[in-house]
Amino acid sequence: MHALDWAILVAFTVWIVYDGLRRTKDSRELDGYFLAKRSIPWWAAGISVMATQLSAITMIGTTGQGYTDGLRFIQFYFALPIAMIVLSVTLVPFFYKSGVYTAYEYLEGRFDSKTRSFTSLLFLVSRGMSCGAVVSAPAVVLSLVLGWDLTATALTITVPAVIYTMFGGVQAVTWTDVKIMVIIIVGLFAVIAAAVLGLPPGVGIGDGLSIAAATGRLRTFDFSLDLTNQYTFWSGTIAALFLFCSYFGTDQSQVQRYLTARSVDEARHSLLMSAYWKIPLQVVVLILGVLVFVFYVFTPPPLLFSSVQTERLRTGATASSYEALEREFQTAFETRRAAAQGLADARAARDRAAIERQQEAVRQGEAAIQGVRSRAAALVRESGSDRQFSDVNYITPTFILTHLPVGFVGLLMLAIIMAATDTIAGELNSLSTATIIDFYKRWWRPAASDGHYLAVSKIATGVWGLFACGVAVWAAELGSLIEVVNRFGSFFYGSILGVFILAVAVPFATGNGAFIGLIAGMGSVAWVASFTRVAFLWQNVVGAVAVVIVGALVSGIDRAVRR
Amino acid sequence: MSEMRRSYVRVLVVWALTLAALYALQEFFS
Repeated sequence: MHALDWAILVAFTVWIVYDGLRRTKDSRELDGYFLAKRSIPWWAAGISVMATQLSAITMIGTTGQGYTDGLRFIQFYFALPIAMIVLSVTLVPFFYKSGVYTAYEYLEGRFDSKTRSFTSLLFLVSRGMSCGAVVSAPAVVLSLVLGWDLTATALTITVPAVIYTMFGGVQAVTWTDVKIMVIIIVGLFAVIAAAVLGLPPGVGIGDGLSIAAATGRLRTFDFSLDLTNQYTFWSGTIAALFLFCSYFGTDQSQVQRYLTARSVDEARHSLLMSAYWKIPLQVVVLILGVLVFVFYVFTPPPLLFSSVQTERLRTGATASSYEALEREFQTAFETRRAAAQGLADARAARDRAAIERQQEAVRQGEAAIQGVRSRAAALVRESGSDRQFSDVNYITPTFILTHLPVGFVGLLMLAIIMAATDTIAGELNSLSTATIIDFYKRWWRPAASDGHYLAVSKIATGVWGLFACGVAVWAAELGSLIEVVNRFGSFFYGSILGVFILAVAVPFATGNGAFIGLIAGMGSVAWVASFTRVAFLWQNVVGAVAVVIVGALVSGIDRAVRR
Repeated sequence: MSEMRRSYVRVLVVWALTLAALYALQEFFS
């Protein structure tokens, strides 16, 4: 990177940390540190909700998915607005009016302490793990750019978030989220502009989208009823409804964001902000990947975007095989480029028959390229240097580093790192809150001073930050990162949602019923995950339904026995 | 109708329009 890029990166990072630390003065009491004394305006809480989800995984993994797979992934978010309405009507008023710090605290009032502690523990495990995956995405990028060790890189990314979260609490997290969201949006549109401006003369954005469509990348809707297919209209509207209700309604990293709002209605409005903007924002993220693909239809891309793996293949025992693949790739690229140019020309001439002919030629060229790429990736895996190798996460960083002007590279690296930082900050803050409120204060020191709890909360934030770094190094080996995070969640989310459904919608549900139901729900998910090929999104439905059915049955028996 | 209910209806309208726009994009370029 150029010195100017480094200057932008360092200056903004220092400013973000400094500004976070300035807010320490408002965070000297427990409700100030964890809930900002419920003083955050709805729009800031809403941006914070969105920023916590929009991680570096979105910037790297999802844009990469847009490149390789197109817009299909957007189906995953179809249920989100519906989930926001459901939660605004149901759980939000319960949480807000009960004055709790954590979502799980509410469960003790409704059921018992074991149900609260167990759900909170599940949150700590799943969110702690996903926090690691969130760190690993930018760690991969920085290790690519700087040639640093992955662990050192993960620490470099996590430390700023730990510092301002430790000292500034939720105030620092929320207001930093607002600033970072602006940087991310500017960064996303800068990449889109670079990809579009990089198209050859005579090829417009309409032609680009037409080329993308010829390769299936604008195919958004898949109405097949295949339960093993990860992203279909049905999994996105039914199964994902359960996931989003659980994520936004029972995951402390989200609940804590809107508990800081000034009133119940402001908390609701902060959630509805995501309902309006999440799908359009994800479309922008995926379209970015699609347009980078179109850019590389006309500008020669590397055979593999991972420069480290390319270098290994070029210099190792695989050198001759790789050289042959590169030659084949070059031929396939020229064929596809000529077909794409032909498609643009046919569109300009409004020649329907030629358009269809060229669309078919683009499809064939793309299939040839994908074939060579798959063999190159297989070569990496067979060479033993990375047996789980996936090139998806290297696409966007490579485009940024090689095709954006000086200054913008720094801005984009900043956007990626800060996207991770604000997500990590929000998650560390919520992990610390659940650790202290649901365990330390509940079981070990119920009557200590606010000062004591604050000190312990800061230590907990630091410890969770270190834990995230450890998981990050492991998660980087698991392939496309976006799916890693969702897989972690799906093992618990549906079951935890089931417990909250029992709490709110089943008046006769008892603590024993909820607890046994929760165990049954997790067992059901484990069984489905182990012995069937059902897509992970549907596991949320399985978990929630199992908890409600078993929980209701056991509650009925429990009440009968007591009578 | 309360202000919150009006907000929910607006969300549903925007949601339907967004999905329709995505479908139109898919069909227009196919």
